[in-house]
Amino acid sequence: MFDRIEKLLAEEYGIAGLSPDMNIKKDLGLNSFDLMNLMCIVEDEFGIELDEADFRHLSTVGEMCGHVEKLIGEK
Amino acid sequence: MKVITATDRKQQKQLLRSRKELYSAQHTFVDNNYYMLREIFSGKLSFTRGMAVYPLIVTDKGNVLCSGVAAYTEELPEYIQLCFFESLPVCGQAVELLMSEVEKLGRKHGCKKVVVGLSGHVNYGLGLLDSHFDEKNSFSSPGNPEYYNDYFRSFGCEEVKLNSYFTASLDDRLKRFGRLIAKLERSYEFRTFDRKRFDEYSRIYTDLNNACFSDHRYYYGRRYEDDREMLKTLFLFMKEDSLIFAFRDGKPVGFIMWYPDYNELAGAGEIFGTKHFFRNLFRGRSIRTAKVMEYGVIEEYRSSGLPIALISRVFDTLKKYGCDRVETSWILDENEDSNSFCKALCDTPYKRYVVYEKEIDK
Repeated sequence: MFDRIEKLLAEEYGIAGLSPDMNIKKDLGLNSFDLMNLMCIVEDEFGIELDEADFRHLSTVGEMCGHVEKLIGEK
Repeated sequence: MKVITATDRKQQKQLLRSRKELYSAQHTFVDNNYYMLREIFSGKLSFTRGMAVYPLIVTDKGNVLCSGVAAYTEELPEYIQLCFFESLPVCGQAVELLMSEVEKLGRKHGCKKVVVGLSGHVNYGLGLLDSHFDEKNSFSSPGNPEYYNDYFRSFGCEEVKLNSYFTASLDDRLKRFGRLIAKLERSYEFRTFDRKRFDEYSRIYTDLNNACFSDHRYYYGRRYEDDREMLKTLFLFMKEDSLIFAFRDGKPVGFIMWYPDYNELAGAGEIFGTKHFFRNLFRGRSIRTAKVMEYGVIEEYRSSGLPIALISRVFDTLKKYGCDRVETSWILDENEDSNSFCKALCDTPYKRYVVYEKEIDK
């Protein structure tokens, strides 16, 4: 999961050197609209539907990976 | 030197004439408020109904040194407003006299503060220019020389800061949000203003304004007739696609208003009026800058990113008009959401504006 998210962030935002403990907003420099856009990208990539409020509360890359994995498992 | 409440037509004409001479002599800014002031003096405007309005001039040997309009509304009971302020340079004493008169009026109405730079209601303008004094103002934006600020700073006023943004690369910036825009386009319906259903759409605009901005500083509720009147004037220039609404399940949830910067059709020092209406008919397509006046999304839809889809709609439209640059209207520094939105889409903060507040001594 981490590798796929890393690939997405590299393709869309040119972000390299990702680690699971990185803060999505502070370390990756994503603003709230980037975050909403990233949510759409993740939805398209994994065929899932994410809740805006839940997604906004994720703080690290690791948490995001865990959340997406959980939703894929529930499908 | 004396302060006069310009109650008769002759005095009001003197105020307007002094204003005209001032803009002409400064030769930097366009006066977008001249005809509005005339309407205010005529007492015909809807939005000043129920508002106490005091046109003021300070004269010395028959010459107007400074002027303004004091205004009070029960909707904003804490403040007496000093609107449409103008002054010659080196007239500190005259401005002090003007402020004393405004404070006196404020005491009469039980106000706590004088607010300088608010034009009756925020929808008609807010702030004095505090940077870029050598550039012509965009349509409906404040334009004043630097020394206006020196007057109010010398009174020790509290300052409320605002700024605008500018971008010449909106296209590239919007691409970054392509997936989000595509999703929002699927989830919301977008409609432009329908002039055939003027009253209905004007009411939607009023309701959205009141729903979106009720907690903003200086804002107070708009009446349907106020916006109907304002939009009727704006639509002498604007096209229907200058006002775009977002609907969700048939319910209006957001809007954005923009227009070409009509001041590009005016020379510095001019009063904006009828001749610019005709210039817009024949030369409107030569305007390069689009001005985003306001946008709003009702609270429960704000986290969806809807403003991005609204601005994307604007961008698609303004390209048709040949505009390739975008300037925003004023944004209060304290409005974190709007500043963050503009930072995401614009190259840089642009002009600075300031509103002055002065406590009224008991």
